Order: sequence, then structure tokens, then C-alpha cells
Amino acid sequence: MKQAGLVGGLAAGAGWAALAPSDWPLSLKDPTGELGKPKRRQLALPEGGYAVAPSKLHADLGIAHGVDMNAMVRGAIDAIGGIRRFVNPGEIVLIKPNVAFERAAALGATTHPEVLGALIRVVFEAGASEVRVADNPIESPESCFAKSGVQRAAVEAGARVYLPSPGDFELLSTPGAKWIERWPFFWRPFVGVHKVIGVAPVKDHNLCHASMTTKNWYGLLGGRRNQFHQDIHGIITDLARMMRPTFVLLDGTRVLFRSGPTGGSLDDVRSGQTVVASTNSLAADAYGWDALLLRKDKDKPAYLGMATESGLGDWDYSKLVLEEVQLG
Amino acid sequence: MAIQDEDRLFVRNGLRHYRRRYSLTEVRVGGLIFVGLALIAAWVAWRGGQADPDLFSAAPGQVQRAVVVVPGEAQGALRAGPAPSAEARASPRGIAPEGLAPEGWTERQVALFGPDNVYEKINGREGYYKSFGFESLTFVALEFSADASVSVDIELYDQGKPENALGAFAGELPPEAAARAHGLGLSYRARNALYLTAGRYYVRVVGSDESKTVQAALDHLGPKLEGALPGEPLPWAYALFSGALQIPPARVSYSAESTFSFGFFDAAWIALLEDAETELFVSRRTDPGAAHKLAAELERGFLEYGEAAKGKGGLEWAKDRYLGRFSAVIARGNMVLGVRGAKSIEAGTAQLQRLEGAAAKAPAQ
Repeated sequence: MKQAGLVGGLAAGAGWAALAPSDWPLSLKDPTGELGKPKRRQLALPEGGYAVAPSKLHADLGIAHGVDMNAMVRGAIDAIGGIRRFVNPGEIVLIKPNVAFERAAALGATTHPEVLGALIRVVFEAGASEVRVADNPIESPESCFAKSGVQRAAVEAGARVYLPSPGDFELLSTPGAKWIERWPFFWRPFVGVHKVIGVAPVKDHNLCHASMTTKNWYGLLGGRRNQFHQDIHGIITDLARMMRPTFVLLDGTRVLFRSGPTGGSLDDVRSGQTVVASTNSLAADAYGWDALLLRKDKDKPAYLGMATESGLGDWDYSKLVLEEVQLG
Repeated sequence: MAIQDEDRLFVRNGLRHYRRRYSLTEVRVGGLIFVGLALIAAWVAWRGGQADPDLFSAAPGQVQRAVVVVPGEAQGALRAGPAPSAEARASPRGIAPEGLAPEGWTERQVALFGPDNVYEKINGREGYYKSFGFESLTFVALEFSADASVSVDIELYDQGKPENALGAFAGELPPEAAARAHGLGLSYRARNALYLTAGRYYVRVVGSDESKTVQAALDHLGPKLEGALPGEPLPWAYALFSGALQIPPARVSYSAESTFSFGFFDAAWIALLEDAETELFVSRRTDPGAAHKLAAELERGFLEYGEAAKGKGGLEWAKDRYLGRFSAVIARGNMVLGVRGAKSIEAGTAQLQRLEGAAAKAPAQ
């Protein structure tokens, strides 16, 4: 009797484990294979992002014109309150340039290294303890950082450069996002960071018509992100939701006005001689569309309207205070 | 004992043990086996919980990319023409000719991309080439030996057909660009770059700057690529537009699909006239019936944007209600010929007659 009971108990247990639905206790069923995967950490950026308190004392858009990139970077930031409004002594600051392609700086497909170098130096002057520079190009990161001149400029200015490697990505939660509610994110450079600054070139884009400061955050995503091209405006709206930066810098020192985002010919690049600083990346992009890409007579890219309607900012810079300075 | 052993063989109830009790040793062995199995199960469960997360997060930007060519299906473009040789397909250099680097330069990298992974090289721009029948990209990076910051990138796009290569080429030239015919294709020299077609191939040679060093490299690479890539005579439409009608090649473009935003209008050749408003277009269909059907569809399409106006010979023109310009289309044999955006019916009629006269002399194939 004892044997029969033992055999029966084991059989019943095995039957339960094998046949019980996957959400029942002790069930071994895993029809999708998902239960067998390890539970990944799910992280979130700080509530409110990395933004500082709004100020009515300063312009919303600081626009500096000139030829001296160093002066333009300082001028644009000074116009929106100066770097000390944004960075406190001892803070760690992450700067996200656009290093998406293996192109020389003059071709306009990447952030200009001189603009990046000037920005790093300004941030250090505010007392930052560390400045990090990070991007996740789909092309070879090493080649992109080297050929664009970004790596050299960053290192010479004293920043640490973070190139992506497989262990650097974590699942980021972005509540309310359509495509990236949970998506791999280039996390390692963000550990311990207090402030985040984006610095992006002004580029024509084959799919979304213009790539500027909002589209720039695309370079922090991992995974098979090319699939987002099917809804490019939707994903850029998600990026505006994901990242609330401390401020952004629009690098309009030269403008890739055709054959973007890759470019290649100097005939497709014109001098913009402008740097724009703002806490409102949608407005900075709208200004870039009108004044740098010179497309004021064309409809704005749909993502600007979609992000504005989602309450993520307001692209209409005509409602904002602009401070424009002409430098040497 | 022997009798008992024999008896076992004839136990009818196979589930019943022939002894009344298990031995203590058997119980111990069983217990040890059970503990062993439990330990294995626990180890498997623990290891499963500690798996490398990268197994589930492989991302193109994070992992070292394998360089492979995946010749797959392109989107909605013409697909025929002479294929590259089997040797070229199988070669790790793809279609890149040997010995491209000029003296004093070093070949740093060769990489091949197909439709499935070309975004890794030109993310955001790949759709442009795919709309012209993209099949593969061979990328060659050259570096000036004396200064690594000076470089030239060679992008060789296999677009499947000469029409596709020419279409992709024309779409990337500045509007004012004057292309040069080099026998089996067209070429255009920009300040720091060289664009050329050879048969089904579209080649972009991109210098890092416009220095003399880069210019000398472009001077070397142009003839080298023109001579090495397998070419074909320019398509008949170039003979029509550039030969008979004397329209610069750079003003001639090929539209593989959705021409003039009409989803039904594919495989069209378009020539923009000097006024930068009027376009002549021509499309060769499979038979006269297909040509007449397309012409009728286009006529209806033009009229959706304007009103009808009668022209010479009873031809119906459509006057665009927003732009006030005139468009008309006719079918001749298996060809569809038309004018779009003429400033007047008279001007449009003159252009259409020129086109019709030239098309009558165009080769049949």
C-alpha cells in the first residue's frame, strides 16, 4: 500500500507539473519560452529627467551666430542663463553628440568636434567632476568616433568617452511610450550621472526630413532599432518622452541640407555659422528647420506636432523668448 | 534458491515485487539517486537564473558585426539585367576591383552588405537605395598612408539594373549638376566626391575633404572604376532624351515606382526641361494595350488635380487647378509619352510633338 501511495503521489505530482497551466504553481509549462529567460533588470530615468527648474529670467532659445565655434557655444549657453544655471560643482555630466556615421566632420553628418570640445570645457568650468561622452552608432563605434574627430576632441577636452559594448545595455522603462516602453538602453554611461546635455548637428533625413536634437537620442537605444523606421515620427516622439535633458545644443555650424542623414558630398553641406541652446528641444529643432535647413515654407516634420500634442513640449518658438547674439 | 529464481520468471503480475520488502541498501541507493537528481535540478534552476543577459539583448550596435552579403528581394524595382560574375559574388571583395588604392594610400577595410543589413552602414538612408532595387553594397575604405585623417570611402551599390543605378545617381546630384557620359555610364565630380554609374552599379567615392591629396585620389579612382566595372550601353531613354532631344543627362531620371505620386505608374523616364517646371516623360509597356490603359489612367489622374482643356488635334489637356500648368499623355505603340507642367497648351503641344518624333526613331527594345 505504501508503495502504491508513493508511486501514485509521484505520478500525480509529475502530472500536475506537466499539465497544469503555466500560471499555476509548480507548473513546468512554458509555451513561449519566456519563463525560462532570466528576469532582466528594468531601469528608469529619474522622474522629470535631468531638467533644471524653469526660469523666466532667461531666454528660452539662445542663438549665437559667428565663425568662432568656441565663442558660439559659450554665447548660446550664456543666453539661456549660463552654464552655472545648469551644472553644479561636483556633478557628473553626460554629453550625447551625434556620432552616427563614419564621416569626416566637414561632411556634416556628425556633431562638429570643435563644438563638442568647447561644450566639454564650458561644463568643466562650472565645476563638473566628470564629463562623459557617449553614443551608440550602428556603424563601427570605434571608426565613427575616430573618423568624425569626436573621440579626439572629447579626450583632449578631458572627457571620458564611452563606446558601447554588449554589457552596457539595460532594459529602460519609458511609461507612455508607443515603441520603447521597455527597450534596451545604453545605460552604463548614465550610472551616477546628474545632468545630460545633447549636442546634435542639423541634417536632412531621408525618412523623417530632419535630424536634430530630438532625433539625436535615438543613439542611446540598443536592440534592432532599425525597425522603428516604419514609424519614424512615432519613435522620435517616444524619444522626446524618454529623455528630458538638462539642455540641448543645436550645432548649426554647418548644415547637411541634402542626401541626409549620411551625406558624403561637400556640395550637400552649407555653412550655418549658428549654435542654438535651449531647454526645449522641440523649439530648437523647429528653429533649425526654419532658419538653418531653410524650410520655413514647408510643413514641419510630423514628430514636432506629435510631441507637442503629447504634452512633451511646444515646438512653436514664436511663443518663446529668443536671445540672438552675433559673435566674431 | 534456484527454484525461487525460476519462479520469478513466471510472476504474472509484473507490477508486484517478488520480494515482500526492499532491502535497506536498496532504499539507501534510491535515496542517494534522488538526492543527486534533486541537486542536478537545483543546479539547472540556479544556472538558468544566472544566464548571461546578453543572450537576450544582442543588438546590431552592440555586437561585432559579421560582414555578409545577403542578396535578397528588393522593393518594387526592376530586377533583371546581367548578373555580376559568380567570381565577383563569391569574392570577399564583392564587386570591388582589385588594386583600388592609389600610390601612397592603403586599403583599410572591405565590407559587404545586403538588403538585410545595409542599414548597419547607412542607417536612415538605406530606403533610398532600396527604392531603386538595391541588391548589395560593397564598401572599401582607403586611407592616406602619410596622414590617417585623410581618407576616401568607396561605396559600390549593385542596383540590379542600369535604370535603377541611373535613377539613384540622378536623385543624389545637385539640381545644377552637369553629368558626363563616359561610354557605359554617367559620372559627376563634386568638390570632394565622385559619383558614377556603370551598368547596374552606382558608385559613390567620398573624400574626407577637398584637399589636393583627395583630388588626386579621385583622379585615379574615376578611370579605374569606370574601366573595371562591367558596364552596359546607356538605356534607350538616354538615347531618346539626351541623344535625340539634347537634354543633359543629369536632367534625366528614372522612377521605378509611384511616378508623380500615382501608385499605378512605374518604370518611367522623366526629363526636366530648362524652365525647371516642364517635364517630359516616357514609359515603355509590354504591349500597345497596356500602354493605352496606362495613358488613360494617367489622363484621369491628371484631371483629378484640375480641369480639362482641349488642345490641338482634340488631345485632352489637364490644367492644374493650383499651379495653372498643363499636362497631357498619349500612347504610341507600346510607349506612353507625356508632358507634365507645361506653361501653356501650345508650349506643351510643341514639346509633345518633339518627344513623339524622337520616340518614333527610338530602338524597339
